Amino acid sequence: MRTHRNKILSLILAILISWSCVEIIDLELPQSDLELVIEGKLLNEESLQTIKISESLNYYDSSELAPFKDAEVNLMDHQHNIIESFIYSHEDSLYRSASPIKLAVGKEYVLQIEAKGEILEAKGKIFENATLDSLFYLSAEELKSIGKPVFGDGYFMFVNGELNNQGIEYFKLDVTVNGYFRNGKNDFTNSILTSEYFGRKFQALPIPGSFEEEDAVVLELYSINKDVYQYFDEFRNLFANDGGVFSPPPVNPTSNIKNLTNPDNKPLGYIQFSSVQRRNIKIEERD
Amino acid sequence: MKIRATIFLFFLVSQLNAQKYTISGYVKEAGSGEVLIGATVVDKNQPGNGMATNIYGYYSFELPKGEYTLKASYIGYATKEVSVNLTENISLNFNLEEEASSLEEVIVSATRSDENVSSVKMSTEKLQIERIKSIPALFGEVDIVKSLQLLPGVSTSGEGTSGMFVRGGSSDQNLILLDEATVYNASHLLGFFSVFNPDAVKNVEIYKGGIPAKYGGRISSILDIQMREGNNQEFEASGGIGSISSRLTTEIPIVKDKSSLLLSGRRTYADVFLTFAKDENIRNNTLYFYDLNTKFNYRFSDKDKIFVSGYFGRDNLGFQDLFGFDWGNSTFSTRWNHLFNDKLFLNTTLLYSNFDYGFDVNTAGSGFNWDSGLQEYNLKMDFDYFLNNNNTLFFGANAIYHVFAPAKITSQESNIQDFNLQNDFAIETAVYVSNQHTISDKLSMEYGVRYSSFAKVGPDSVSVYADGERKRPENEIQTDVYESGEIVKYYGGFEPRLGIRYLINSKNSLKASYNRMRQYLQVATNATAGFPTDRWIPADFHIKPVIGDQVALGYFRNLKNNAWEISVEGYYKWLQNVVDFLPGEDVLLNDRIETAVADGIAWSYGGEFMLRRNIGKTTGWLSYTLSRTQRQIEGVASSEPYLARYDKPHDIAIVVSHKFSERLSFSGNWVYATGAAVTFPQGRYTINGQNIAYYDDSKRNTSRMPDFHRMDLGLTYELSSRWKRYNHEITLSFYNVYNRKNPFSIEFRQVNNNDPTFNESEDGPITSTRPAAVKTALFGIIPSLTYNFSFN
Repeated sequence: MRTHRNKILSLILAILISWSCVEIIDLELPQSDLELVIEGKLLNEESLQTIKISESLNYYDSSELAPFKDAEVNLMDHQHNIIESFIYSHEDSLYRSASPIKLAVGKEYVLQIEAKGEILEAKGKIFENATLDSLFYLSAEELKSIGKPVFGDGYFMFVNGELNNQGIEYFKLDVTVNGYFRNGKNDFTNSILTSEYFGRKFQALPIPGSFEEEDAVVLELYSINKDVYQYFDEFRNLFANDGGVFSPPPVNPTSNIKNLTNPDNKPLGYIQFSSVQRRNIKIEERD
Repeated sequence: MKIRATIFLFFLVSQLNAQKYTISGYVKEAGSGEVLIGATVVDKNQPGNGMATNIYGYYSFELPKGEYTLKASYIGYATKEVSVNLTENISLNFNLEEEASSLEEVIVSATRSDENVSSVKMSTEKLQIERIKSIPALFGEVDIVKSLQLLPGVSTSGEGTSGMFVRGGSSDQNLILLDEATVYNASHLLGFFSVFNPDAVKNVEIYKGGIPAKYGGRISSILDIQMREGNNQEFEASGGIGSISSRLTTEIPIVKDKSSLLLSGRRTYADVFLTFAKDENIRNNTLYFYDLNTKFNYRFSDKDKIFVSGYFGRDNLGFQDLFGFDWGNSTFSTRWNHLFNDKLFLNTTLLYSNFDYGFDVNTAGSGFNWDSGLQEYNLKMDFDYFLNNNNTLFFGANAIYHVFAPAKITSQESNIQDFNLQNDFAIETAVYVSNQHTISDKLSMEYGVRYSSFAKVGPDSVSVYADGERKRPENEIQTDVYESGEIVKYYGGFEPRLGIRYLINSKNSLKASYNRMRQYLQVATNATAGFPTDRWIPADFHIKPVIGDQVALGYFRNLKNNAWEISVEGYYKWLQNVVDFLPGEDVLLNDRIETAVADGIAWSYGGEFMLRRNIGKTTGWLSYTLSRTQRQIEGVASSEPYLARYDKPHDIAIVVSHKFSERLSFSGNWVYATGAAVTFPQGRYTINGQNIAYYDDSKRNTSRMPDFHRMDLGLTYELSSRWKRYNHEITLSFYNVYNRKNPFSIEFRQVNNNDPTFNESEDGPITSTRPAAVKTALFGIIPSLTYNFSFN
């Protein structure tokens, strides 16, 4: 619903923008100590699970984030028994599980990180993913002919399926087209999903974005915990914040990682506990 | 013996008092029959004996038996004198002729000439509609609210926007009244234009402090706008053709001297131009707004008069068949003026206000309709009792029934489920009494008290949370259900009001005021500028009403026979139960709004300086405001005080009009304000492949946007006319004449190829990417041409 608000704002500002001027300006910005940035995706598929830990940069610094190499990373069960310790890999600057592991659907886990003398912890449950019965696509013309117009041209994909857990469910849907992960600002905004306003069963639920003939599309649907959804939701709000009078004061998204040693010193980032399912589809020319 | 003498004297005095007679009546404009607000009727030989007319043009005062010459005067009108031999109570109406405009006598105040010094009122500004019309405007669209932003203590949220921030209050803390009906969203096109068509407006008055007991419901200001009644003498039409809209107003006498009808409309025509676009995607878009004002009045006798007025305005925009969005206000006022006798005047008002908006999304698989609205049904009774020449009592009562329907979502054969946010209902009541008391020639006071109350009523369901826990859904321990009409929560309290004026001499005065206000409704938003989808929320079981107190002191001086006015005011305002919305919380579709808010306190203080020239070839004013506005909210910015975004320590406006000749006039204004208080990032990081800035959440609004300044100029030339009854003029204006690129926003984002407008599909491959601060300046220099006409 919030995206529609942004559309209205965009439309009116787009009209006004014809008189406007956009330019880069030099502003002296405050600087603070470098913050830990943590990003992790722990999945229900047998693989080397990875966690990325790095440090933030001064705003105008255009270099890559420097990895933080001196952390201790452990995956634990919900009773804090260590299941797996992660080891820093100089190859890709990630912390990796020592061996391929698979997180179990329905179970709760804890990821604990010790860094800079502080203990950080994220908890999460692996929820059963939604059932995707079928995936299909229609062209813009076909949709228009049945009274369902769409933004833009090309092909539009839809999915039928049902949810498998009680209550509201949360998902992240990543779309890769011809080997390129769609990760633009709008793609990210549209990839965060909640079932809050949908029924248990869904018919012709639109997949964000449009496609061209011959596109090879890979869909990855991740079940996510509410706190991670909340993190992504706040992240996309911050993303949409243009610093103008229609935007709220910017604040960092609320991380699901707690600092047990110094609760006020919250790290940046999130740890995602997910079940994942993938679908491949090729857009064929229609008669 | 002493006792007998005392009794004798008492009766003698009583007898003398009994020999006083009342003079009462209306003061009207001769040409149209419109009543004149604030006109004075006095004894020519003793100008201290007299009275100003109320907003219905009525006056009443007493004089002992005798012969008098009574003088009625109003700025811009020829003074009228009438001799009377007062042997009984008399009713005396004055019809004042508009003064022929001479080059030396251009007058722009809407008040009596010495009101700046003599009135008890302070922190109040009245702007004549002709002055407002002369101020150069964005796209040539004359805007009442933006004109008010040029006054001390009234500021704007940003370039071109019509939201008002009065003495550190937020924009939802202004009560905006149109013929006494509340206008909940006073802006078109997201605030770039206000909803008031200047052709339909007669009087504009804003109270920033020292607010009379008659008014309540908002903390910061009362903007009281009265619509014109319409000419009851002869048919009149006026209008204009502008760069983005056109206007037409007709005034029709129904029964001469008794009744008239005013019809006024304005519509933008951007959509007319869209239809000429070659691109179908542009051609099928919708974008327009309109305003319709109407007012009917009928005078049954000098004792009874009714007014029926309405306002209907709407914005409409749409993307082809995919998406539609519309919003608008409607207000309806019915008023009955009744004179019980020459001393007791009653105005009974029945009001209806509505604001609603709707989305219509028709995209495949996720189509839905969204409707939202709020209504207010208001019954008011306001009495003016002219007790004697030294005391005028104002008392009355009102009751408002509020209905809030925040959201109803209906699926359009899609996966979206039907969804209803719980409607809210509330009853707001108030009684008040105040006295305008002339204690001596030097000392006058207006003191009073208002008692307001607010009952949130059922049907309702209220979440109850565990003691000591944060109000979160997971901490809910029970839900209390209330039946229809059952009281969920009751709030109420006194609101004392006081104004004092000490006249040092006829040219100098000192004034002081105090007022307490209670506000039971507020807008649930964290953004500074209003958006049509902003949700009004009532005080309820968890959210308390905002309480605001303000003290003000001022020095007022008139110079050169009242041609120049100087005022210096200082104020301090403090608020309780101010709410802020917690980051990341959805307030739009949240049924437990208390989980998304935190409350605290706010305060603002400042000094305001005004130098104004009202009479002469060159008129205008210089205003300067020095102020500070802070808040302290539990859980926001480490619970430490922080600056409001609209905190502007320095705010200057210079407004000038000059009449070169009978036909040619010039107007211009220059504004300067400290840049808005904002939060800039401390660094950046990458998540999910996305670069994003990070902020120090323990602080808020510690940085500043660049300072804002702009100059607007306008020239008006009165064209010659073949027809005596047809007058027309043309206005050429330039907004932002020196093309200052004032920042509307500063965004922190990645920029490709060092070009903030870079588009990969049009501009080629990306060769570099870097984080940058990107400024958007909304309006450069904008010329506009407006043709205005009148037929009378």
